Amino acid sequence: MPPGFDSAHGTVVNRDTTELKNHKPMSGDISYINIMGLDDTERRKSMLAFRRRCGQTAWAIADPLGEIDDPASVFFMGACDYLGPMTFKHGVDKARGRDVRAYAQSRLENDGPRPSGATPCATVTAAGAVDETFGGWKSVRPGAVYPFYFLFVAVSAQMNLKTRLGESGYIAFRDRLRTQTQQVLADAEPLLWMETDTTAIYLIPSTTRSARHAMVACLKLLLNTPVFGYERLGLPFPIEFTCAVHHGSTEFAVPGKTGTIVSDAVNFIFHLGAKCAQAGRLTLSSDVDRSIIPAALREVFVDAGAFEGRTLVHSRRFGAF
Amino acid sequence: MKVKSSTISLCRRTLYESISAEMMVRFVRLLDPEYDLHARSGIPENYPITNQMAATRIVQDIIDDGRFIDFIETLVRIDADGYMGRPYPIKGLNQIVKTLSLDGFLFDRATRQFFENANERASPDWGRLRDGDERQAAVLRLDVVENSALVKRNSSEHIERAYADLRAIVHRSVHARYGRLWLWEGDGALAAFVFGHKERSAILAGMEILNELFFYNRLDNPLEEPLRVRIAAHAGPIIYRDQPMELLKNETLREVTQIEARSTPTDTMSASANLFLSIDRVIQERFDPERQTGGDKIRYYSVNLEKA
Repeated sequence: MPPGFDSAHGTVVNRDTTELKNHKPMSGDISYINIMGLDDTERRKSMLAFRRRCGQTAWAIADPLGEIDDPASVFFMGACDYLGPMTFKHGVDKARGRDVRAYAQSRLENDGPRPSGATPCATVTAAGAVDETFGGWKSVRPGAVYPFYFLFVAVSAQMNLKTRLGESGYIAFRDRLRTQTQQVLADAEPLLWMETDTTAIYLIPSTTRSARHAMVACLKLLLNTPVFGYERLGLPFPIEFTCAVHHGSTEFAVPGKTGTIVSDAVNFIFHLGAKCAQAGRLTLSSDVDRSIIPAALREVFVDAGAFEGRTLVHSRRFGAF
Repeated sequence: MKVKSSTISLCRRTLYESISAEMMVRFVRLLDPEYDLHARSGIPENYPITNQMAATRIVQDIIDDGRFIDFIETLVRIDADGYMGRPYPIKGLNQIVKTLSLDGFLFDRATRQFFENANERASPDWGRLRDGDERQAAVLRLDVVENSALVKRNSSEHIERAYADLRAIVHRSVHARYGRLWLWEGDGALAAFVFGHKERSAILAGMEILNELFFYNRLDNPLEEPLRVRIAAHAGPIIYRDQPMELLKNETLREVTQIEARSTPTDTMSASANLFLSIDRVIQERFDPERQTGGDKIRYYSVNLEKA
């Protein structure tokens, strides 16, 4: 492979049949197939097989001898990178790896899942990649069942907030919190769906883009909690946010008319948020497509055991340690 | 600052319809203790001055002295709280506030101060300071670590993009808190906070910049390596100068540069003791215990992630 190419850039698979068959990329991986020494027919077959094998994950071509006459054609087939002879000569850097990932991500977001019979990867739930387009909340019909990401957000302090702020102060605080949280989550196109005294459930469109925005926004909120609580919410004492995300399907009802909703996913997110998720952390259930976590933020998450039959990961806490 | 003639007329009328000439002078003396209406108007002391004449003279003098906004803020305070235990309702003050809003000033009811609308313009003097004005200020100094090496190791295109992003982050954090960027060199910035809760604003801006960079370095940074900074926050008296090089001769600005250079670790904000005491405990708790470093009493803030 080119100088500077390492595991951070992707995994290399040779055309060898066994290696190809055993190749099982994870979400967020980039797989390169080395097509050196293949004739046109073999090359095309290998590339198609490799594309099927990679499914929803990014794949690319390594062509050290420049045997492909028209490198652009590999992009039309769905590849996200082409390492040609000049690249093998001059090498690659980290920026290229990032560019490839960004391109692969934008391609996934723009194209949606490929209709090529691709097999979803083990960590990609079927629901997680069903619909990569979102037509706005007005297009979501009450009574119909849709896949969503469910975001649970709760705020807590050492002392009961209502006791601390008083009834009217608490109402004003809740209004500010609602407005500010929606601003923070704006890029994820959230819908404040259910709200109790201390918690809120937001529906996030079932697209990788929205889920990723929501995940990053939650992490930023957790890191900025002291500034957010003090400056934007006007609280002179520390608070903590608890965030949890789950993916599932539910019948949709407009906010305020959700009393009759019966859904395993809604039950789970409430249980997860109220009983399991810890303050100061973002908890993700195993139904959440792990590809929403950008590679550079994976170090932030650690395993958090299992809850009600689903494995969890949660973010490490920010603060003084 | 240029004041429209309609605003001047409105202010005159507001004054002479609400308060006596004697009270007008007392209120002006809150800003300028030496103010002498008779001397400024050329009318001998044994001649009475009507309310209209006093209002006309005072408004003109206040504008000439560059204190118009300060004077309106004083009137707002007196209208709300009274003066020496007595209420002085000032009719038409809301109209003046509205007029100033149209002229590009936002009125912050919490601090009862006018701020330039940063969406329209953000001048280094906030549209209010004059050359030679002395104010208490909180200042923030930011330095990009190993700037020269970064420039050598990365393409100019990536460097330009990364620095533009950094400028945007700093600009957002500072301007959102009524601060101003007084200086932006290749590898660093100097921001000042003079109005509102200035110490708090400087600290929170510094925290926000570090927090934003934590995500920027992981998600959007086009460079081969993280963009790392040192930030120092300090407070003290500043004599405002229109010339940036003159401005930099202020002792407070020299001190903040020294704190940044000799007492601040990478990816950290240091806050000097005189600034730190002014902020609330809820923010103080996010800082490390005070340390004596390089002759300065410093507290540090950095983004820490719990160990896995």
